[in-house]
Amino acid sequence: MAENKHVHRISAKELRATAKQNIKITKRYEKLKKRKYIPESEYVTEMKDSNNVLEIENLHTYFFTDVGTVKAVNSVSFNIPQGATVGIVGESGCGKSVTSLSVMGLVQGPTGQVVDGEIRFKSEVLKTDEKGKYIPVYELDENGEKIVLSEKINKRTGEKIVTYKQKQDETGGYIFEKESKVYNLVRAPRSELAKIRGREIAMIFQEPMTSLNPVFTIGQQLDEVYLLHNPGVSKEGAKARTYDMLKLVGIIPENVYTRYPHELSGGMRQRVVIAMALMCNPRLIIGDEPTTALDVTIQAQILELLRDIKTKINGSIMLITHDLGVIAEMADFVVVMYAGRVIETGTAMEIFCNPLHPYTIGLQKSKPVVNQNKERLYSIPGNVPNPIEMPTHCYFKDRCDRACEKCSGEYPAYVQVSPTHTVACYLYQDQKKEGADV
Amino acid sequence: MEEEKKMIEEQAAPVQQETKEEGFLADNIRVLSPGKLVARRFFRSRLSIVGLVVILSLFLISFIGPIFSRWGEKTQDLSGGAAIHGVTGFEFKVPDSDEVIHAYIETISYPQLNKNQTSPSADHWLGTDDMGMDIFTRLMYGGRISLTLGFIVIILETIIGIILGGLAGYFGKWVDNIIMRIVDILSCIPSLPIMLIISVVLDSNGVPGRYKIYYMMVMMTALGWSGIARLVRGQILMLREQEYMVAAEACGIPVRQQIFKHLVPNIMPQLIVTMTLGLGSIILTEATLSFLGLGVEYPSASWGTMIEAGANPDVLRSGYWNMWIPAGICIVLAVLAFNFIGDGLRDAFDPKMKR
Amino acid sequence: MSNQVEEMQNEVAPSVAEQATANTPILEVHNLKKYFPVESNFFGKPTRYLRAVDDVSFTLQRGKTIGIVGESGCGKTTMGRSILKLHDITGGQILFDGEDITKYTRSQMRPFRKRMQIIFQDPYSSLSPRLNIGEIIGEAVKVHNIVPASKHKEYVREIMQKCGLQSHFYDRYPHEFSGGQRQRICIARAIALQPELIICDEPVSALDVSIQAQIINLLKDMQKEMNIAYVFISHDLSVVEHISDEIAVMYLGNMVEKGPKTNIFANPLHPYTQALFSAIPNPDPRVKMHRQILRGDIPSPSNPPSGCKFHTRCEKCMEICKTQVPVSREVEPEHFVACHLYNDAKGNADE
Repeated sequence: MAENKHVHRISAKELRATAKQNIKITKRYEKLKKRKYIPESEYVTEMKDSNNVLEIENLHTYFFTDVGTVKAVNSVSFNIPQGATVGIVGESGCGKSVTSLSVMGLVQGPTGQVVDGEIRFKSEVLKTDEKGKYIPVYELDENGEKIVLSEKINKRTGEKIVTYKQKQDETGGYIFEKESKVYNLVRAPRSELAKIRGREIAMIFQEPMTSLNPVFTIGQQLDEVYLLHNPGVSKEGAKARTYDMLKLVGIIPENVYTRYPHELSGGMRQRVVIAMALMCNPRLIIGDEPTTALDVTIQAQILELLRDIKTKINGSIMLITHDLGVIAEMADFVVVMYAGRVIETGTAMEIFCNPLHPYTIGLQKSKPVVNQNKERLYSIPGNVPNPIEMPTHCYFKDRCDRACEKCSGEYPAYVQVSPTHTVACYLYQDQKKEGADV
Repeated sequence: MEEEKKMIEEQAAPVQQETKEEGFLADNIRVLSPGKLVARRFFRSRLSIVGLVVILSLFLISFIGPIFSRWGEKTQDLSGGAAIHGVTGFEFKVPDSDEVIHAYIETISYPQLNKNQTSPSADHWLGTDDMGMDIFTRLMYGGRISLTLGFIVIILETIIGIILGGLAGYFGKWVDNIIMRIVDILSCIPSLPIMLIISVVLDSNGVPGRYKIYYMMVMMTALGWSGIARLVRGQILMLREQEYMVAAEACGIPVRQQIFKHLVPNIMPQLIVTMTLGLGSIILTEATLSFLGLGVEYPSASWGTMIEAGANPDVLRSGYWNMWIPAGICIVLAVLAFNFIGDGLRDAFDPKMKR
Repeated sequence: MSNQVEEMQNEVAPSVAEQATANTPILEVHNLKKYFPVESNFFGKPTRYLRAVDDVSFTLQRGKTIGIVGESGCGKTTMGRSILKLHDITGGQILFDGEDITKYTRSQMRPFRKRMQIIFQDPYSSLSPRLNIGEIIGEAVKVHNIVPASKHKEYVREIMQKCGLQSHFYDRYPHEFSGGQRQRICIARAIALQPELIICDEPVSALDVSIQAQIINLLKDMQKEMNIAYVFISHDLSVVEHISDEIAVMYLGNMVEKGPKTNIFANPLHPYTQALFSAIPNPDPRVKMHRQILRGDIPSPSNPPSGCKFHTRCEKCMEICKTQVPVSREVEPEHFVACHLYNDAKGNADE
């Protein structure tokens, strides 16, 4: 190895070339996104399995940087069934956060773009008539007739305008007709995404301080979320809802409602953020490392809370974390990611009791466990490969202690080991020949 | 291919197994050197390139231009428009005869010495001023004064600012208290009236006009360092909490080395940005003072004194815009360019902008 | 290659090895206190203190590791920095290799600096971004004249290789490295001075699991090779358990329990320790542990509860806990606990 310190650096020429190319590519994607009218046929699809809330298929999210294209998410597919907790585990830079951001449509443009793939989400949307107005649900009296509120005659046209009494929920929000639609979140226009975000998919971030606005009180912030997504709700109604939600996450509402975020401890703040996520009865909660910034005893509280809430609201949770312990406790299904790809999926039992991929095995072995005396920890040698120049062979090959000749070939296909357990590794290719894609 | 080759080389090297893997992977990471990273981000912005080009050309024109100019800073060309060519005829009666001798004398007169202004012409690209001095040449000389003065003042300010701000930030306690109170007092003093008073004092003590500019530099430095000192102090207070400073202390590295090797290089980015932005405002102040007759005195050229011509109602009425507009444009250009460069540098240094 | 380093060590610092008698502990801390003023009156006289470290004592033998466990705000980081005398100490005594360094000034401390080092949690803020790796590691080596100037560069490269860094990284800058490699650089900077004690302040908390294992192994190797004693501060019990010989549990500035690793893990006595152990998520879905979840938040250290500081969250809280501060008792041999539950246990208050 010659001691040439400039060997690894990129020439200015290369940089300029990639920058130029990137601008070209990103412009195309941005244009596609910014179209004023996007026909509904482009983004309304069907679920493959009606039991799922979310289906991610062949998702590719790339970042076009000056030093090259970073394939942060490279062909990721998995499903989140109704009422289940799916844990996504992997080391930093494996693309787990970018996956969640892609679902929320929050990938930072113009450098970051969802290049390919589908994210199908089963959404309950308000039905609209031909004019684009919501169709109200009216209250009916004993005879099944609509209750008339007022009658007016339009003086110019002589038409009679009848106002009927619309149904309201307990907080005063008007009820409109709903319909179930499946959206492809990758292609959906921003206006539609904004309706889904926060109401049907809620996100809990790692750092609770940054997801709360420091200049508003907790009450104001929670009320606002509810008022925004529910037309017609009175302030009192929103406040009642806020109180309910705060009680649900184990906070005495009177103590917190008028406080500012900085007055609360980290654990309390995270509870408030969870309450905020629950405001609109979301069908899917995405937790991006929700307990990483917390102390162990507080983490235990929050995890218990999340488990508790899931049963109460009958929603699904997508839990992203690097902590295997958290996953083992929380998740029903586990997705293991490495360098932008899913390498193994299965139920929690399968992943933890019968891990197959050498990376999954290594990950579990390298974590020290209490009451297990080992002189030396097992460690996976090396680092995660450079995301810019990914090899064509299995990304884990260079760190794998069980690599064989085949591994230098193309990227291994998924092997279905059991109905729920799939793994992308050549070691298991022979076990079952029908290596079906997930 | 190259990767594989590297790996083989790595394996051959007699190092620990873990070392091999680390090295192999890190070698593939193609990263930019810190300087290149900043330069790259700087040149990404079009405005900062424009600023750089403008400043460079102003510099070139100011410092090299006069060499090629026919005219000097104060050479008067009085052949311009104000000269009155006249012919006066005389009749002499020859005594003792009827013969009358007619004689003619051609006269060139300059009835009003301070009305020699001309419009742009081939000789004088931007015309001349009322004393018949070439405006384009004087612009270049004025640029010399403004730019040099700007740089000298900002460098002096920075030196004083780093020393005093550094002392205040690093040692804290009473040192900090004294220095920061001085800074507070300085920032309460209205600088323009003070400058005016000082100028009057200088005049009444008979200080020659050509020295006035040095006094001005000293005054501007004395009143201007406080901003930089405050910035340096704040930065140092922030950096002192950084773990690498604690590590330096834990390693027993002497105070002087801690300041000059660890602290100062890390505040340099902020400092360079502030200096660039400060340059613009110093040029403005200099122009203001010269305009008010406090800085550079008239026969010497400066952008400020040249604009002063515009304050004369005769000049405004007569339509000789060329006497003062170009100097104004130069000031605007220089200040804008410095601000563009400053903004570009700030974006380039700021790690949050990293994409 | 490592031979060369050992040679150099023998050349320059033979006295250190000779001086050290096997019996003197490398570090003794007696009743260490560090208060920070939080409120002061008009004349600058503090009226209220934050008791970051309140009466902590322990002893550390050469080449051994003591693990300090606790949650955020328990004062473990402050304690680490107090031991290195990176700030003034409010009370107590620190004996380093038998020498009382409590009252030493900055310049008196300088010769001790190379003998005691620190590794930080955040590998990003602990390396100056404008110095290259060679300068970072070699700077203090030059200051303390660890090796003659002619061998300086060579020595730094040796150290880098020891820590698993390629020697051609010498003139690269920190931003080019990943978290794990940066932590290796920090370790290299510390061991380049051939210290006898290293304070490890959460050295692996910011790293990925697989990198964590690499760094822990590296720290263990270095300990074996150079006979360094570690004060290993962490909130991660499983990591502490793996690396330590002795464990101390801290809560709001107090040391609530201390003892040999095996004792503490086999038989945790203090209710806080029990809860802490129970809170670790277990990476095995088959084990559905009976969780003992602590209620409430950690009280603010600037306004701690009276009596036993843990009584607000303790399930076994008694009347006495609210008023009287428990003293540390030796309940088992070498196993100390500060809790009123064990008042009847044999042995008197220690230290």
